[in-house]
Amino acid sequence: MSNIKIISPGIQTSIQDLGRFGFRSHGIPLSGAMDQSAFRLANILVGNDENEAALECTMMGPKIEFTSDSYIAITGANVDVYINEIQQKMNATLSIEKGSILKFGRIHEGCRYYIAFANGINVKSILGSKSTDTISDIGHPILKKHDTLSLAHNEEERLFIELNSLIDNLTSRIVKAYPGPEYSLIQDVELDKITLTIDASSNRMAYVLHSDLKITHRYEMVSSGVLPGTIQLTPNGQWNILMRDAQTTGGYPRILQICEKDLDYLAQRRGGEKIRITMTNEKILF
Amino acid sequence: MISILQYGQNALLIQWKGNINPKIISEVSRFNQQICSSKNESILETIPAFTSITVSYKGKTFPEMKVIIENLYNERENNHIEHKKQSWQLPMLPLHDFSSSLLDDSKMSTEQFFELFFEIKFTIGMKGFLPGFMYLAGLPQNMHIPRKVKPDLSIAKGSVAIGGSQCGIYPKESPGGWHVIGNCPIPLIDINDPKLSCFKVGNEIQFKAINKSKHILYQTTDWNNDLITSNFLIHE
Repeated sequence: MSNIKIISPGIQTSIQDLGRFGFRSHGIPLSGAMDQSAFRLANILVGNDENEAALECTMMGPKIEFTSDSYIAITGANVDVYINEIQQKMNATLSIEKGSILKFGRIHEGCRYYIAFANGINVKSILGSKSTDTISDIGHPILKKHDTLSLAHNEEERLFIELNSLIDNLTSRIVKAYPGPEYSLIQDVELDKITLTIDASSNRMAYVLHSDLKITHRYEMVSSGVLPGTIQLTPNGQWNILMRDAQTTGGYPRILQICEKDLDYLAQRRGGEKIRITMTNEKILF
Repeated sequence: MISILQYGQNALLIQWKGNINPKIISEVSRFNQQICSSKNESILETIPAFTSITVSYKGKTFPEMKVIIENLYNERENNHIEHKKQSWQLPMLPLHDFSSSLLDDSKMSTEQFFELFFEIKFTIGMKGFLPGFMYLAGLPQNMHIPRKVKPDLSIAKGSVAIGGSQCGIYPKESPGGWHVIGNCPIPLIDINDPKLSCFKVGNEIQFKAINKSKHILYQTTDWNNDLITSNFLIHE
């Protein structure tokens, strides 16, 4: 059996795949990798199916010991990667020998990075997914010191590939959004002139944003479905961007819906960073 | 009548006009079943709510999906098949600290509040917010309490709470903006049971007051869906 031992867990390292689909009518969130493009790339680099379970690291990653040979790949945020103290490339297939130690150093840009293992991680699939849902206690808990994870063993040789992501989610850009169902609440606001600051409490469930233009309201609505990428406006003027572990329904007005490709971009933003939002030019037909 | 709105790139929102009432809840529930059983391969999943259904889809544009939903709506069965209406009586320990001063109706005492509360026959209007969270419809207007402007960081597992016109039970500890009035010690969802939950949208729920010792007993019981059904289902 081939295993990895968690020597130190990092800040928030979780097991993710592309998500848990089909149970939102029971209130079960989608979950899944926050930066899905980086996640897919990591699996591709080790010859896996795109949906194979991998590790999602946040800011400070884990220190891992390998008990057998393996192939891995690191993608996402720009971080210093070391195997046995020797710096390695990101976005490339890396060969690992039994007994090796993987660790991470300084993070230069972005917030989340992925470690994919050839053939994936052997954990129980719950309701069709291996993803950890950080709010609902579904899936393998956030990694702790001394955890051992079993890797699916395979003798098969892997091709060595080096492949930069075609999508740059690290460089600053303006986020695009569609009007949400309750857009009328902010229709007179000049969205392009607003700067939003990401609160340090932001997590896989939601990013909390503080607007430099305070918009408060007393709009009461009947709770209704919400999606990853929905921006809710709370009565005291806080903007919540719902992320992958978000609830399935909510009672705050849904003023905007972030374009899906920009959700991966947001996954790479840290607390304290500023973002700007503009309406998408893509056709919207009512 | 329904309206259909685009909701981002791969979802749409079907909305019914009007406030929460048993007629709309039943119409939403029936139309949701119709959408799910239509086996349209573009439809991925739905989130039914009190007066709306969110539909996530793939491989189609919004105008194409809108036509599909409109056609389904026009084909819907008009003969109202009565849903089998199960009734549950769930135990609740009233919160000692709750004060009726939060109500707009200043004449109601806390004792009167609970007396009236335990008489209410709620309807499960939807699930959501958290796995297994049940939104209960049927709270009379004079018992409404506006949601907190700033949500609490932690509301205990099992909390029975009121947010505006709605009542609900928290299936796990969570942040939330509702006012807690009591605690129900029965688990609402079991993710290891393929059925997930024995409580279904459209079912009737009435709360029954229990004391502290019964609450502890129930809290420490190892519940499963069969055991819950045999103890608290009062009308099949």
